Amino acid sequence: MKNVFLFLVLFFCVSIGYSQQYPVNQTLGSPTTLVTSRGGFKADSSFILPAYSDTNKANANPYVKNYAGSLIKVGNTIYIRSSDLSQWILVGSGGGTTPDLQQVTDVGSTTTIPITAAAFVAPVFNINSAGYISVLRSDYIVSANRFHQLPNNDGTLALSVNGVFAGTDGSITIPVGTGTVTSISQGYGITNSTNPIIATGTISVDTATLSNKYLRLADTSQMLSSYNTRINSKLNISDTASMLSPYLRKIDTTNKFVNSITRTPGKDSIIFFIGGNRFAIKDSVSGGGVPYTGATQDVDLGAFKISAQSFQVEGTNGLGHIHFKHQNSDATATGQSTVLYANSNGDLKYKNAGNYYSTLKTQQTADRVYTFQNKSYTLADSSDLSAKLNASDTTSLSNRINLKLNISDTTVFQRKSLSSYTIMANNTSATANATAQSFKDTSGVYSGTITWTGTTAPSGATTHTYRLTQVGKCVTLHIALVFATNGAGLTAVQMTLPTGAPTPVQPTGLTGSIFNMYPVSSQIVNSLNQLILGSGIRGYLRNNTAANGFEIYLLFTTAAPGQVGVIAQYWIN
Amino acid sequence: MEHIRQKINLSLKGFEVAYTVVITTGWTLPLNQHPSIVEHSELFEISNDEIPENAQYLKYI
Repeated sequence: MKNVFLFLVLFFCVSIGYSQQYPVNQTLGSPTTLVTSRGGFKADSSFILPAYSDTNKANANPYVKNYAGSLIKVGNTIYIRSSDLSQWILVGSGGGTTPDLQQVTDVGSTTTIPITAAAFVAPVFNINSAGYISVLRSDYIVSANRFHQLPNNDGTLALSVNGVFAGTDGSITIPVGTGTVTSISQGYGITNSTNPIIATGTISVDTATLSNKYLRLADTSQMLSSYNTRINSKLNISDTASMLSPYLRKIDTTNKFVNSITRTPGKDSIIFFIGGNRFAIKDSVSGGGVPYTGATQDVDLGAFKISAQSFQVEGTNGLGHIHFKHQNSDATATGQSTVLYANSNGDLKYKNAGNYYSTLKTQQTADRVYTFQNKSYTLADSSDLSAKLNASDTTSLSNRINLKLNISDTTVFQRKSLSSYTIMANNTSATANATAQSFKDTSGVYSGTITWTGTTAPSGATTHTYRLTQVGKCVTLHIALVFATNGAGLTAVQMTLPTGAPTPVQPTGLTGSIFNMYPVSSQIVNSLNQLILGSGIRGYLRNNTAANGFEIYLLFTTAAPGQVGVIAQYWIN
Repeated sequence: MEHIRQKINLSLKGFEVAYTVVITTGWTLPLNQHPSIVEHSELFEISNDEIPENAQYLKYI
């Protein structure tokens, strides 16, 4: 029994000893303190590394990652912080599991190539033509000579063609291609429903279109029906009214057919129309007389005239009359008419619309006509006319009238039709009819060019005028230059002829530059027109310097004029 | 065109007022050296205004 008890105690102690940790924990430093041991640092039993679930957790510590050579433990793996503080380097790993490629490469080389795919991507081995092996991610874009996938578990390379991968036996089965027609459009003579057909529809023959091109001999009944219908539609047989219009020209736009024949009510005239023009066939005239239409009916001859050796109007009461109806188009008033008839005495009477009668009376003596407008006045006979016309003076009336009016000289009647700027005169040495001569009298504002010679030209407000009178070939010109302010120290002034002045004739030998041609009369006065300046002024109408125009040139002793008056007289051709 | 004109009462401009232009034909020196300006600057002046159609002219001596 004692042995059993000792065994239980020993077993308990052993059991506790396997899982027991140091019973006393002594803390040195703090989470933010770096404890440095000068000289060596030796643990006599164990050096326990800080443990992290992964290196990221270690990086979460703000201090650990910042010391090169810092050691941590992740699971059964020991990492040491790299000298450049950029990574954790695998130092060693515990047994029991197969290290992955990363771990192998990390252990075998001081240079670690991390695989940092965001998610697991199967790597791909590739052997190129030079025999080099490369490892790629399977989601990389693969070129023509690179494998797409790793071999499967049996070591067979999984080849693919257009995305179809080889099976485990290495064969590639290419699927049979599939697809659908996306659109069918209708053509000539074909009708799609719907058009275009993009899913399900019906394709049928377009009979309406084809019937216009083919006779459809196989369908004679339909063909005849169709042609009958079409012919009827062209001839419009059922619609005779419409047919008459285009074929019988009921509406005749070319005016070649009679489109209406009527009879005037109450008369026998026949009225017909050609187009819009009205024509009439009047009551026939035959057998030497117009058919009697009754005492109260008029016979309307329209524009026709009666051509006969005698014309008789016979009224029912024996007093036939001719009725002259005034045409409206010729009258200022309408309804005027004159009735001409003979009374029982044979007098010719006529009556106007106002029932005023006039009578041409007959007399017993031959070749006498008496007329009177009323019974109180009678026109005298030819003897009376002789007395009135002084028939004893055998000189013809025309001669007497000519004597008074001098009719033989018809030019007197032309006095109201003279040409502009003319007078009639006889410019010959003999008696003769008058002929047209120039005559002109005009005036206005003088706007010619004035040129002074001296110190100061007259100035201020101006009132320059001219007057020109031409009789025949003689021209008289007056120019008045009026200034508000006198000039000073002036010795000459020249002025061009006013606009419209006739061109002077240059006397023989006086055609050169500034040749004086016609002397002029002139005076200069002061601006107040109270003092005629004693300046010995003299002047000429002369050729200008260029000999292509004319000017009036006045020369005087030094003076201070404010006004200039010139009268020039010259002649023209 | 620059020219020498006889001074005018500008208040009358626009009315029928004599506008006298000094003839400078053949004068090759500057206009301000023309005798009319040199001798009577109180009466004449140099102007760039447009010469009116009804201007009169003065042969200054």
